[in-house]
Amino acid sequence: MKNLHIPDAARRSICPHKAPTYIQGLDEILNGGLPAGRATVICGGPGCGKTTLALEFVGRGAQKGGEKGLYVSFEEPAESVISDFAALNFDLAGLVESGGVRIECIHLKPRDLAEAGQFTLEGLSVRLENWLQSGAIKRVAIDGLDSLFLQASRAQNLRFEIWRILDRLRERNITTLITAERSSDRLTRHGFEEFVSDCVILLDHRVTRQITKRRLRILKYRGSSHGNDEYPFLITETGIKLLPVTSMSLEGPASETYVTTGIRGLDRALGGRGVFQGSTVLISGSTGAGKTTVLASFAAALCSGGKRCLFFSFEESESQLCRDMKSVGIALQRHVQNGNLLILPLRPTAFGLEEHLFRMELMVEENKPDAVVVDQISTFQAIGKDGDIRAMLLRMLDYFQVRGITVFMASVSTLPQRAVETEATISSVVDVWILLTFLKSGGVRHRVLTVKKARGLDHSLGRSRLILQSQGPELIQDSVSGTSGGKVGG
Amino acid sequence: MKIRKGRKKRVNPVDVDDAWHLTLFVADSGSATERVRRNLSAICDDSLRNRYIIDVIDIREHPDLADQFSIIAVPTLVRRFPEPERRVIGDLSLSEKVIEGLAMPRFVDRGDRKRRLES
Repeated sequence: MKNLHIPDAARRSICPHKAPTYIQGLDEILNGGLPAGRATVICGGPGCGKTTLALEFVGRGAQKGGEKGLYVSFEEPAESVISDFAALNFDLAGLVESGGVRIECIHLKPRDLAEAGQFTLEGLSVRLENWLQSGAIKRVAIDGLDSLFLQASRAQNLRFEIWRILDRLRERNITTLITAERSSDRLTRHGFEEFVSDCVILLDHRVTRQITKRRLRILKYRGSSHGNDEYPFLITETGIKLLPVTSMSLEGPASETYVTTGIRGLDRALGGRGVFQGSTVLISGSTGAGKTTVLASFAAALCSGGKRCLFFSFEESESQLCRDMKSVGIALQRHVQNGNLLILPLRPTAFGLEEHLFRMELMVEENKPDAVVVDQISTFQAIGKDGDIRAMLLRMLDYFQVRGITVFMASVSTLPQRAVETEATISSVVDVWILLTFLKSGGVRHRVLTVKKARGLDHSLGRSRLILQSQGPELIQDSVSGTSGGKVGG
Repeated sequence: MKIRKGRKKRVNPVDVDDAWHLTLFVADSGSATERVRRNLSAICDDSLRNRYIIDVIDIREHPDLADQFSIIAVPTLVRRFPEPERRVIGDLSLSEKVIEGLAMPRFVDRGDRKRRLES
């Protein structure tokens, strides 16, 4: 088929190819990736993630895309870069060794270098040319160009030198990423957006009420459509993570299937077969009444059926939880071992509300569980105001509901007024609300369970007693006179 | 140290062990570099008398040396000997900066030997 002869430069501006970043969530927003063969500016304040993004672009490009890359730092020497970013989950040191990634540090040294007349920075372009010649490099990240401006402010034609470098990279069709410091009045301190007019990405890092919020925005992307919003992201130990855009448009599936709670008596109290798949269950009650036991029992039963469960534990470590549950006859360890159960212990004070939510969502994205257990939501009171907590919980529940994930949550209800209000909000949103309290009768403490609400289920309105024993928890219907068939005990 | 009469001859140092070894990195081979070389010779003649060796390296022809010596600015003048290494950047028109930067010895300049530096 004969094509029109379109000169290369023109063809490139008509439909630019994309260079994927291979960063979770980002390529979707960029509609494929950064403009291939062109330069992109990543702009942001200190500590907002520019270096991480630049390294990931080069490193993942080498690892996943097979494209050799060059990372040039104007600030850190190569060894620090490798050790600081060793945790990113592509083997940076290995890539450097195998030649997939080259790291160079450019620094005018010594720091008190005397300037005895006029000079240019031609050494930069000469050395860069040399590095590019020694083999097939397709991606270049130039990190910390502002630093060069500081170090060499009196260089002749500084801006011309930089323009020349970028132009040479473009001639060689190399996808370039340069990082730049954000300025308070205009975009970048030294006007890099003038050098690079194809794509500009803004990274924002705000701390409000001690909670860190990171946002990414595509300011400009010539020749390509792109996401226009501000996208929240996290910098985790393994790199930058964005929430995938596509997942926000899912519709919640209605379900007719039932899931067992793992306690026969409880299933009966809920109408016979347990709860609907994808429903939200709140277990509230006094400390020690057995909430965690009910949660664990559900998790164990689910995993026995071959399904996957994520257990967010804000109270106990994995070993504590397994040991405590073993004493009441629930064996969690084997489900952990065969991979159906993932117990995630988290310190509530480790992060802010937003980040907790984000991390939980990330874990769900990565593991795609059938059910999630949260033990327990009252711990968030240590890290946020009630209004914020309620908002966060509602978002969390919405997130799970839309994905058809069954949720079991625990909440302590013997705390004063704060807890009651939050509980009132959440309990109106959940499908099933179970209350667990202690009742003293004749010197014995009984665990009493009441189903306060169960949407769509033919549940019993009476009270039952939860018996914790080494063979596993049991629920027995309350009887007015005397004891029933099950064992009595606390 | 001999005192020479008459026209100054640019000769290589007599006593090699004592001589300063300087390397000048440039990215040009034309008149600009010539000026730098002349500035450098003038400074060296005044400060070091004959006890110096100068290499001139065009980094465009030896980019590996540019890497080795971390050359970004051109011209860069590196004092290789005596140790430790010191360097200055620029066209060397500011002789004071060169002398200071490379810690060159100062001699009393006699009026008749003083040369105007080109920049």
